[in-house]
Amino acid sequence: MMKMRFVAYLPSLVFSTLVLLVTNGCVNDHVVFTTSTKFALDISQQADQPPKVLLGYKREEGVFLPSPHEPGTIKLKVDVPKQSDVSKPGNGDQLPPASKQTTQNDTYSHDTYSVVSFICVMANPSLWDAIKGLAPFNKNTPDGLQIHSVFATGVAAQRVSESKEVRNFYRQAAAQMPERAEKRCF
Amino acid sequence: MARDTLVRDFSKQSRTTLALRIAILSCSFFVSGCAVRTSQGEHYIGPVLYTTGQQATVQSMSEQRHFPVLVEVGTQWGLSIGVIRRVRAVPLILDEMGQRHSANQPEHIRSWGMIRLSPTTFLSLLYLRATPSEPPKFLARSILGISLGVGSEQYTLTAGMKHVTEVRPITEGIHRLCYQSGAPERMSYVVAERLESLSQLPCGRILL
Repeated sequence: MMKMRFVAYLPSLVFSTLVLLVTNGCVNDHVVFTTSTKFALDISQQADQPPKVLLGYKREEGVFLPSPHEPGTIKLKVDVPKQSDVSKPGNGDQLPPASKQTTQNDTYSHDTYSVVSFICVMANPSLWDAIKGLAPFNKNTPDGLQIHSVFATGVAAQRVSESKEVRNFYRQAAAQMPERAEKRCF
Repeated sequence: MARDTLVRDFSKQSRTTLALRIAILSCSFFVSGCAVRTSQGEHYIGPVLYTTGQQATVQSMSEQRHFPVLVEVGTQWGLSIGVIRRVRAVPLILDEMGQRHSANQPEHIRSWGMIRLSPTTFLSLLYLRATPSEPPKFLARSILGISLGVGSEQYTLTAGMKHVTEVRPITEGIHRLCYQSGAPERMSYVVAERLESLSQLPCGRILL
């Protein structure tokens, strides 16, 4: 009797699960770097992406950047002239806006979200190697996936983008890319 | 007389059914695993192959392998049948001077029924509790089989093979991640305020 009831409710259960998968997602307000390898029938949702249905093989590397973002951590002191100074003859004809009528304002240096990144992903497409990599107690497994990434986020990214070392690193990394015939990130 | 026989047969049948249920429960307990993840810690009931990483290049790292059934409860709910592998890591945070941040603490592990296979790998048969210092910033999940999962880590319904990695970096900082799926215990994940601090901990052949 219980089995019959379960079978009767099975379509509803599957439908509810699919609805749950489609209508719910990870709502993030921060950056997410993701890689995925699938050889499956897969219904999934990652980060703020819309849900996906896949049947077959797919490799994916992506970065999800949020639009809204909290202010950065660098505090800037902005000197704004007093209204009395501005309104003096010879200092200008227009008054500053009401919001700028203070001697010093604390403002934050921020934008949507700054990210500077270098990402190297090498994926072994062999399905057999991937299966061997999953086997328990097997430590001598091939590298199905290698990730080497260097990235800066937020205000640190703004600082790093001006660094000479980072520019040199990018130049070297770009030069090494075509030489990596052995398909290894490190 | 007939009533006595009937009662005796019934009680014998009940005992047999009860013994069978206990046997099935015991078998299912020993061949399947249950993961309970909360904000305070992670609990693993049943067999799990647990690997921890080097503390010099990552604050805390652990790998869990389950076979053949895994039930997940807590921050992530799910049911998986097959080979399931999960790698979680918290980055090593270096301060402005390139020194390890004093607040960092490696995860605390307590296990009952543990068989140590190597200095970093052990098989927990009954119960294992891990108390990570922070929520993971790096997650890798692999499944070969069928999996249904809903929660903070993923929303998925999969039949086949799937390998997903996710990095959710802290808001501000310079990050360097080196990860090989074949040797996750050797992974490196460092966050520094200055670029020079990263070069102190090389990642393979790469200087930065």
